[in-house]
Order: sequence, then structure tokens, then C-alpha cells
Amino acid sequence: MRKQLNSNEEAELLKKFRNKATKQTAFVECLGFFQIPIYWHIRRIVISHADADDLSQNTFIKVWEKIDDFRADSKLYTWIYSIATNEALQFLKRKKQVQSLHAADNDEYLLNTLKTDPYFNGNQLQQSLQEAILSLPEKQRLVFNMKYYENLKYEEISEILQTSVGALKASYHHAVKKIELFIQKKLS
Amino acid sequence: MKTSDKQNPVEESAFEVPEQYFSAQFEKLKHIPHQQHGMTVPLDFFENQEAQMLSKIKQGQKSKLKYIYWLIPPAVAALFIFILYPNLKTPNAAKLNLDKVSDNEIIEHLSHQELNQDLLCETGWCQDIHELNKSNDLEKYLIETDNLSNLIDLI
Repeated sequence: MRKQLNSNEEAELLKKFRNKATKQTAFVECLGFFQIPIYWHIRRIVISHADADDLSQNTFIKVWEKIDDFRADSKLYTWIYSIATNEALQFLKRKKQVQSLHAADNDEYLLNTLKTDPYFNGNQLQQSLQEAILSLPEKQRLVFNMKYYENLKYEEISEILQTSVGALKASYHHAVKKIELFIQKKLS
Repeated sequence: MKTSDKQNPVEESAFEVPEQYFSAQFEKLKHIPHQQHGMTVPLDFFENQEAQMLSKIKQGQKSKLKYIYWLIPPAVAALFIFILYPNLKTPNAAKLNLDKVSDNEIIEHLSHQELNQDLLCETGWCQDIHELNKSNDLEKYLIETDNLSNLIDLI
């Protein structure tokens, strides 16, 4: 599995997407490249496996439906990551509205999801790290996940989140400091 | 018993295991989920998810066709109305138009219009006119009708 396509492969894939006869083949190829990283990207935002499953499917259905509108101003994978991020954040927003949660309660909700999700079986350290990440503000959490787990470049994150590289670097720095503090407190 | 069970050396020794024990264990192993930093998914999850998405996009294409099928009856009805409407409207329109035309205008038009004799004969009028001429009924009728005195002058 590769994270991204080179420009020739991307152009070839887009060409296939724009031809009715090869659109479905292109979709399958696109899933081959992005299905797993996009699933994990969403999963880290919404925590629950079932929700991540639904949202990643929605993301790719949107890719299928909107690919004709994609003007290739950005790279295909940053476009798909943007759709996935929006889907996940909108989902959390809706959840928050439905449950009339305050910002602090939202962390609580995600923490409960982590503890009750049957598809989380991390050890003590992994659980503590997840709890620390969930204690971060939304933007810092996103940046930390994308940098630490997904190893994306700041320029790529900047394109996906529409935020300056400088602001992202500051967010990541703050996030790391907060997580270190959280873990130290937990261990002491 | 499955091949995998037969090939197991444990079965050949003095120790026995329940029937299909190893195939059941293999099934269990299959469902040990993928893992990433403590987060897991069922083993075949990504394969199944791909199949689900492909099925959804195919369904989406089918439902688009379904909408087209739903559009056919209203389209036919609209076409039917479009074709019939002018025909339904014509008699009324003709009536309205004739009401607006004065007798004098009609007389003026008829006096300058060359009548198509063949067409009149086809509809049987030739015979009627011939019969009327023979009995002088036409002349009598025209003399007795005041409104058409001007027409007689013209003729």
C-alpha cells in the first residue's frame, strides 16, 4: 500500500475516472491506494470503528460522485483527505448537536467511545496516549494525528486543513507538549 | 472432517481433539482484527468494505435509471397535452375570431375570393346549387332576404 501516487499515475487515474467505460476500474484502483489510510484517518478522529466504517464509505461515495468536479488544482489524495476530514468533523458536530454536548463533554463522549468500542484493545500505554490525544483541542488533535501517525508533511496538512504551515507547526508543538505532560501525570 | 484437520499431527498421536476443532480455531484466527496502536478492525474488513462500496455505486447508477423510468409517464403526459392542446383550443379560437369579423368584411372577402369549384363539387355543393337554380328557390331566397341585398348587387 502506498500513501500517494506520483503525478503520472494520478493523471492516468484521473483520465480513467473521466472515461465512463473505465470509471469503475479507476474507483477500484483509487480504493487500493486510499481506502486503508483514509479509514485510519477517520477512525482517529471519530474513534468508533462502526462510525469510521460508515464515514469512510461516505467519503469514497462522494469521491465517486464529485470526481467530475475535481479540477486537479490540488493533488488527488489531499482532495480525498479533505473530504474525509470534513465528513468526520461534520459527524462529530452533528453528534454534538444531537446530544447537546458542550466542548468539554465532547472529549468525554470520545473517551467513552474509546473505552466501550469493541475494536479497541490497546495496552495501558496506548490507552493513555489515546486519552492524551483526546484531551487536545480539535485542531491540535487533527494535526498531531496527521503528523505523528500518518507522517504527512506540513505542506500536505496545510493543503488538507487550509491552514498555514507556521500555524500547523505551532499546533503540533503545543500538542506534543500537552501529551508529554498528560502522560507524565498519568505515570506519576 | 476437513483436509486441514486430517493433516494435523496431533490427531495422529494418542491425543484426540473434538471434531472440526482445528477448522474452528482457524475460523477464530481469521477474525483476529488488524491493529493500529490499539485500534483494531475485523480481519476481512477492508475487503468487505470495498465490496460494499462497489455495490453502493452500482445501486446508485441503477437508482438514477429508476428516476428516468419515473420521468417517462409525466413526460408522455406532457407531450400528449402539448400535442392535443392546440387542437382543443382551435374551435374556440375560430369562434372567437369569427365573432370579431363583421358581415361586411366577410362579404368583401367572399366577393374577391375565387371559389374552388372542384372542392365544392367534391363536398356535394354543386348538386345542391344546381337543384336550387332549377327551381328558382335561390333567387327567391336572395330577394326576400334584406340583409343580403348588397350581396345581390355585387353578384
